[in-house]
Amino acid sequence: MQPPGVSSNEVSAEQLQIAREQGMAVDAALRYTLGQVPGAEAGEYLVGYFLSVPTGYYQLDGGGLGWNEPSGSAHLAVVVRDGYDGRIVPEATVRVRAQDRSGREILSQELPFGWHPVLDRYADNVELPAGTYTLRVEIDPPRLRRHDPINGDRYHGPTAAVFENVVVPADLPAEATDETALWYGRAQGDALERSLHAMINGEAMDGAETTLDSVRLAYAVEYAESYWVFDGDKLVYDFRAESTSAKNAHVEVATRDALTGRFLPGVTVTTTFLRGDRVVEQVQPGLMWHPWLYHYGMNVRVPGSHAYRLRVQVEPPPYRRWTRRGDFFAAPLDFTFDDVNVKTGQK
Amino acid sequence: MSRPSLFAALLLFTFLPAHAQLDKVYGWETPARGWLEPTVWTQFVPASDLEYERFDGAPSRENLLLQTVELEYGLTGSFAVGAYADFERADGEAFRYAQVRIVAQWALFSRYERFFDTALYAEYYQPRASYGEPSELEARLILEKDIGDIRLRLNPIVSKATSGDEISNGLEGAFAGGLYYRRFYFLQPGVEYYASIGELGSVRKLIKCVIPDPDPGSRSARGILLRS
Repeated sequence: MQPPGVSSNEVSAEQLQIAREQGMAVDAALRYTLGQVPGAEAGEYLVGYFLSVPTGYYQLDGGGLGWNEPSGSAHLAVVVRDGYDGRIVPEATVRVRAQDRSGREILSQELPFGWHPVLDRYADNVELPAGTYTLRVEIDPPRLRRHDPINGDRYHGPTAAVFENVVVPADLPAEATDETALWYGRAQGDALERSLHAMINGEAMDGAETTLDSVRLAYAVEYAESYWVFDGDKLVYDFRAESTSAKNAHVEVATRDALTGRFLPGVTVTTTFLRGDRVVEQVQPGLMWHPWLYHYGMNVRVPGSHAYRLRVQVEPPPYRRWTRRGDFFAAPLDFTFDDVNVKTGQK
Repeated sequence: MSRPSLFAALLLFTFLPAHAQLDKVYGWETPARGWLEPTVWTQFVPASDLEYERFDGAPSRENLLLQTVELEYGLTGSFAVGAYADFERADGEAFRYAQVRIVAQWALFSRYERFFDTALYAEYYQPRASYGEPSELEARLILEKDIGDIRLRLNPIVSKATSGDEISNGLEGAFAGGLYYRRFYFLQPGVEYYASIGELGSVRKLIKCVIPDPDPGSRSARGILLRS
């Protein structure tokens, strides 16, 4: 069942197209990575997997990034994409099970989300001897909040994709991470940049982006917006932004790696609105699904239509950064945007 | 996509002599495209000196219960159609179906795109024969403006009877307006003003206290208190 992809009060046909262009860039990277990528439609997702030689990774370790040498016999990667626009779906829970031909379960484990210079993925280095397997990929949907009363109604229940006759060769291929391969990562970043500029220059009241060493940091402010939230296990559309002015603006933050320009999910963001040095609102906006621009977003309360200072603090991603190119964003970011124009209840 | 969404009942307790139909100042917002919004509205008149002139009549409007079942559907993000079925129960009488109303609303522009959030609204009333009212066509211009935490709603209205003795009458004018303090979600006081123009012209001012549904998935209120 393909998730919805229609124009709404949150997205135009053109904006849906720029979301699909982000997905097409992911698709190109998948095809480059291992040629004809095995993939399947599974519920509201497109699920692909690939196997390569074990890969090392960086991960936060105490005060900085620590390098972890390759281990196991194979790097098993699963890419979960949206069934409509093809963008990578972050913050899902992905579990993989492998059975040999006798039906014996050889592997059963969760694959954590990780950054990779060419293609982000749910992956791990695993012990999977050469042979033929049935691979079952189980996906629990992300519990993201979602904008858009129509298109945000997606990713509902657990889904599984089953791949039969998966051959694991004795000599697994290595993934390329050279400049040619990196082009495919940058193509995803370029596609995202078009969405980001459309938001900052078209939809938002105000917005800007700056580069801080190895990270690009962008913000946008809009009117308070409604979105889907989880009420227990049920997804409901929260109308409160429409029925009250208790929250009167919406702050959005996007973090991207400067190497490729791709979005960095899974980080902790804190935003603080200031008038002079006085704090008027501080929130931790969580990751928000949006029909054409993932962001960290939250409705906020500001005293009125003014120019504010917006301090944005971002913790480095806690997840794995595969390959030696993952040596970036080791310390928290702290940056303040000046003259952030917020308007409440007016254009 | 069609997504049924059951909205909680909205209760109105009025301490004024009420019209047969619910007092309402219409807002700019329409349901999202493909959304079906059922709503139940209830208004109770605890005290009134006015006679109840509908159906076979009753000594007064006191203890009159008015109930409306509304179904609204967003055809696009800015155009919605809907139907209301009105029911009434006078003191000591049976609970009876009164009339059906067919409505259409077209929200012009996006929110905050212009000085006023503007919409056009048309409503056709088709009463039950025994109800004693003519069928009527009504059009409203909806103007909405947020000024900080205050929301202003203005509804200039024209109507025309389409049956009965009043069919020879020309257009009749009316006006409804409201001012609401929306700072807090769970308590939103407001003042409403209703005026009809012409021979039977009248002016009424109401003070409302809106208590929205605590369910974040509903944009209806659970209760409204009216006071003069």
